Amino acid sequence: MFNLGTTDVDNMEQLFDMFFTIGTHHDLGLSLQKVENNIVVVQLPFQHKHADSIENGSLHTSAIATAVDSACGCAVMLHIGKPTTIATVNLRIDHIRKPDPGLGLVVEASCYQTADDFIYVGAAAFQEHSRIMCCNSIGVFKSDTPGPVLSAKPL
Amino acid sequence: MMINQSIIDYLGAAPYAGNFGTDIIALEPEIECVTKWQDIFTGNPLLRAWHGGVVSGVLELTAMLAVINSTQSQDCALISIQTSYLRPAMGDKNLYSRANVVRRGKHIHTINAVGWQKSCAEPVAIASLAFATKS
Repeated sequence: MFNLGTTDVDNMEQLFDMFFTIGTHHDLGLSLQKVENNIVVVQLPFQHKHADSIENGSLHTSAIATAVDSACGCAVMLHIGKPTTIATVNLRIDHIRKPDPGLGLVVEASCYQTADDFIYVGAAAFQEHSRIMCCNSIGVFKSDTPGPVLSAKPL
Repeated sequence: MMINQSIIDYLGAAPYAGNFGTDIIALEPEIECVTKWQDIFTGNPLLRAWHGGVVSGVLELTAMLAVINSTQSQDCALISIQTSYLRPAMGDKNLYSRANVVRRGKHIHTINAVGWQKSCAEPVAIASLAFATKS
């Protein structure tokens, strides 16, 4: 199910490095942990500013949504195997349980099907240092949308 | 506009909500908010567009405020959100959002939310959300 598409990880590394330094990703502290069998693994660390409460807070669901969206986008770029424009068509996230207070998440995302320019992605977020699933997600992305290509070359 | 104490308490107690800098501009007939652009919201730096996850987060926050406004309680948790992205949300422009309570159930609140920049008739994203409540 998770073995579709062609990947060229070496060519994508620089792109991913840049991907995780921009705007929201930098603010969230997102980092690409590994790419294995077409599964992208992204870490979302706990930061107090992204907590749902001042005292004893867990990562807010909005921060998790952003990390899931980014991990899915990463999986799409990996699947396509070259820099191109992509857009999220829709994204559904089911929040199963709150992460424990003070703990980050690990998001795993992979493409499970493509049709024309549409790429179908599944993702799940697990509490770090465990396999406790905190949320599950499916999304649809479109490739080759209008706009400039996020290039691996320095901006 | 009288904002109820539960909303004030929630916004004061949730660091992530404060991070968005979202302001409430109307409570009736539906809750309406505005979120000003910040560079940390950037998704695609070349388009200088809002990150899809942040757009989803703003809709979620607006929906959460609608639930709190409806129940007068912060005791609610997001179960599920489905966001459809209809147009790019361009950077340097504010994001307006509105949420309405579709159904106030005993255990579940169902909310629809919409986000726009230029005009409400041209939404950038819509979302359907379910919250578990204890009211």
